[in-house]
Amino acid sequence: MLKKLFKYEWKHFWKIPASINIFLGIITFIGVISLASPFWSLDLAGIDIMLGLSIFFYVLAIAAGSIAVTVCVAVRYYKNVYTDEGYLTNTLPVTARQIVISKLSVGILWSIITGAVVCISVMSLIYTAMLSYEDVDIIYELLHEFPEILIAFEEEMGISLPLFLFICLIQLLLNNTFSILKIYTAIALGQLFARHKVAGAIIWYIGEYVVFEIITSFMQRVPSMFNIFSPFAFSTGYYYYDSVGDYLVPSMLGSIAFSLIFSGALYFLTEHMLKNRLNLD
Amino acid sequence: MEALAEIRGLTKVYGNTLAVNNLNLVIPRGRIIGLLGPNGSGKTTLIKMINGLLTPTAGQILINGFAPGPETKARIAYLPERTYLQSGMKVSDLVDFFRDFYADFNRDKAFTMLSALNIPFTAQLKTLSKGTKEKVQLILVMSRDADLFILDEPIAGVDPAARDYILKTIITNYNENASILLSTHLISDIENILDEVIFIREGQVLTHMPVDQIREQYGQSVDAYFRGVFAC
Repeated sequence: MLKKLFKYEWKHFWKIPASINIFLGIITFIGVISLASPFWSLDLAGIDIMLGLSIFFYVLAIAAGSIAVTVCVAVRYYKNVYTDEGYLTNTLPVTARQIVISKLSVGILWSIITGAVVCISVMSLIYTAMLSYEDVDIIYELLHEFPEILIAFEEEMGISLPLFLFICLIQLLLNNTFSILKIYTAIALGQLFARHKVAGAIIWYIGEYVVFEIITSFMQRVPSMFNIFSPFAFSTGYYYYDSVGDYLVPSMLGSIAFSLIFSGALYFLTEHMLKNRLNLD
Repeated sequence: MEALAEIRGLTKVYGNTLAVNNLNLVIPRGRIIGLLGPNGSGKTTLIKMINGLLTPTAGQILINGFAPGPETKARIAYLPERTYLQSGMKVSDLVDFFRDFYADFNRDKAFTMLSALNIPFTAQLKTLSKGTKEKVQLILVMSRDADLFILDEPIAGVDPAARDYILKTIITNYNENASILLSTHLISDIENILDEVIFIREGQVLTHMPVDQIREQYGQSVDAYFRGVFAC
């Protein structure tokens, strides 16, 4: 049943996030064509302002696209589970767990696809700009000096590049899961309000956001608290590390543990609300 | 024969409102039962709790011995009073969707009924009228070989000509071990197909008796009896 739920969830949802990603692709294409042209080298009045505005609108479009996909994931869950469509979703012979997992999986997949599109977009523009205006081929240089980069990276970070990228990937996956589950939980808890359930969900989301921000900022200070040799560590949270990796890698692992623990908690709360506290209007 | 559904001490409270009040009910097999009552009497609340769409405040519901969950949902065919289908889907997609999820769904039966009501298989739901969407929904529900059909206002939104077809469909599309629980305000239209009626008032069962008994004992039609009982 989970496979079937996943299949239909994908089938019914793909069009909107795919359209948003195509829009991001078109913006990137226009950006690359524009940067590859000699236009920005022309000695025109106000060209710096135009460049600044173009970059501003590009960043705005990329941010809007990413946010739009997240909003679509939230709307899809709310509409399909807690409005009229929920009368069908919640009378299918499936468990609450299967419903949540199928929707969560599709939401995570689209978040990752959108994240990848944004990364490719930014890198394409940087690559084109460097090639056009600095005459530097980043990809060629990266490939040409790859063995040296690997060694230098490991020396600086204290961890190999493939392992670092793997940790990044896990972190990305868990951060996306955590972000979507925060929305799902807020929607589920919003149902506890007798009226204005959407407003209730927004209030819960803000509450979750504040609580998790407090926990995150507290956790960021934890490594410094253990540094008893630094008199400023506790009060400032500032600490000298031997290498970037000494700070970054434990921080990433801590972030993974944080996302894992709280994603688990939010998941079980979402499932509990759907299984034991469902009250469709 | 073992009862199809047993409801004991069922209660549902919304804030300060008691929607269903310590309700007890046994639904037998092989019967068409009218669930009747004035607006706000608790009919839809009861139906939604049987389908697992509302969590009871207290009490127990057992269908085929199971509390509402995947096992009962596999055996209940539910038609809600509202349109629950996603408007972007085609009629044929919906048929495939029901076939994929409900093991008791009969695809051929669905297409036969869609043809009889001149509903094109390839039509997108959003291009259909409200009444046609309701017909599609009813056809999907009645194409199952479920144990319990729960139909909440199945004929309210359709034209009189289609009503006859729908009622004929209801009578001919359930097996002898299955029951139909039918909630409606259009009592005169459906009373000829009913075996039993359940009258609900203020969240409690007021009367549960065979239709023949109403006619013999009170010398009235169900519609006339209902008007007498619930006179304002």
